[in-house]
Amino acid sequence: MGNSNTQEATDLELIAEYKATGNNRHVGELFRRHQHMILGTCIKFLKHKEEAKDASMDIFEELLVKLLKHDVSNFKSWLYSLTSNHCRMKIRRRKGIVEEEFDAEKNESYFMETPDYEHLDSEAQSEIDLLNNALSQLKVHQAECVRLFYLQELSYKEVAAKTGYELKKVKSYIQNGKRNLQLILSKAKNPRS
Amino acid sequence: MSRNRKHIEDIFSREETPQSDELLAYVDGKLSPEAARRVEKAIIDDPMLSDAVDGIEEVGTEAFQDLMLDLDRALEDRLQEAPAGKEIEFRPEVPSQPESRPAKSQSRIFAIAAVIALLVAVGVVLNPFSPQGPGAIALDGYKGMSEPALMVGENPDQQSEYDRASALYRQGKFQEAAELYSKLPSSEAKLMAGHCHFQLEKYEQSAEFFRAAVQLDQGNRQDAEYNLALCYLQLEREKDAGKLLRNIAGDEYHIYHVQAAEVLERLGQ
Repeated sequence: MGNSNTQEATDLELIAEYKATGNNRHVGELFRRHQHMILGTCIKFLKHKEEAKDASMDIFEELLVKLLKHDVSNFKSWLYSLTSNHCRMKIRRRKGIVEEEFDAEKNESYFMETPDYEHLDSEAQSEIDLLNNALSQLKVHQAECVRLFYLQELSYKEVAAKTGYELKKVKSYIQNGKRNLQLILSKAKNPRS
Repeated sequence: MSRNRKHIEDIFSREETPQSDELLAYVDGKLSPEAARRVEKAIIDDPMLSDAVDGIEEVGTEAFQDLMLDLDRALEDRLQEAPAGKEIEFRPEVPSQPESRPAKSQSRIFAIAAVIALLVAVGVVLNPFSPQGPGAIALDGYKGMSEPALMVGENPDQQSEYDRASALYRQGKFQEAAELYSKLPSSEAKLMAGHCHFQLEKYEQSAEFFRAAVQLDQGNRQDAEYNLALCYLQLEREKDAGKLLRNIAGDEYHIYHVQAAEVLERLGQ
């Protein structure tokens, strides 16, 4: 009942409805929308299908409780924290598999600041110089992958084939390369930050 | 105009998160090159999507779909259990997981006691503050004890000492707990000593222990960092707090990045 409304509501509207009514179905709908992301993330962290499934249901239970208590403004980002936290707790409790998800590449960008690149519209040429300059400051493998992915528009697989890096590494190099690039650019444009 | 310009925009644009079917088709290599590229660009910007794709690839799309169906069923069963409109059971937030640990049948009781202690402590501490200042914001942002750190028997310290300290903490005896924790060398103990002092409103000492836990960097560095920032707020070191919080908020892999952003927002930074 009332499902047609539920189908169209945004995530934040569902949360508001849930807070107002306490009706678990709203959280059910919210969960279904993001279920593939939650389950996939749990598999990635826990490396165990059944455990990942159980963890996903635990996260549903957590949602029921935490959504009532927290003011969530960016649900997706919040959900990722919740999911990854949950998995990390589980991993920490399993001996010998501590923090292994955090590879050197991710740790490398540990203190990365959110870039401010809103005003990238003007001065195209100087932007390009900036970009080239920033690219030259990246680690070689990051710069290589960022160039191939963004400038030559190759797919992950093509980048992997061209560079000889594993697919996972390629993804990680592009992710970190992009973030480092944004940081370098935002610092260059806004040295105060 | 130029291709270069397009590339720059490309680097700084964001793609929509793909739906489940599109994602599965991507993993199976069934998308057009353009659609696949959109997914790949979305993956770069969305750490959860990136992890989810890794997870799907790990088990394969068929097994993943089976798991999704199982999950659908489990969810439907769960929703039947607590009919629509009915008040849900309020499960303890932080220590809900230790119950899966065998041979610790008391853990659930401790869990409940801990939540009660925490609620009492937070309630007592929160009220005297005005809703505006950094102190109040810090307390709002404070998430209390760390579940893994409180868990009995999983830390490198001598179990009995750590367990005794944790039991005291759960009873709200933060002073005694702090004394025990502070004698132990592990980062868990440092972290918990930090929490004890935080609860006691001794923010100078609290910051000292959180800083020690950050420096030890043994797996709870992120907890310690976030709480250290809150201590700085209490100590009116807003600059230090802001710097630390910005670092945390800017790192989407940080477990407190959302909370840090919220605190910053409230501080108007």
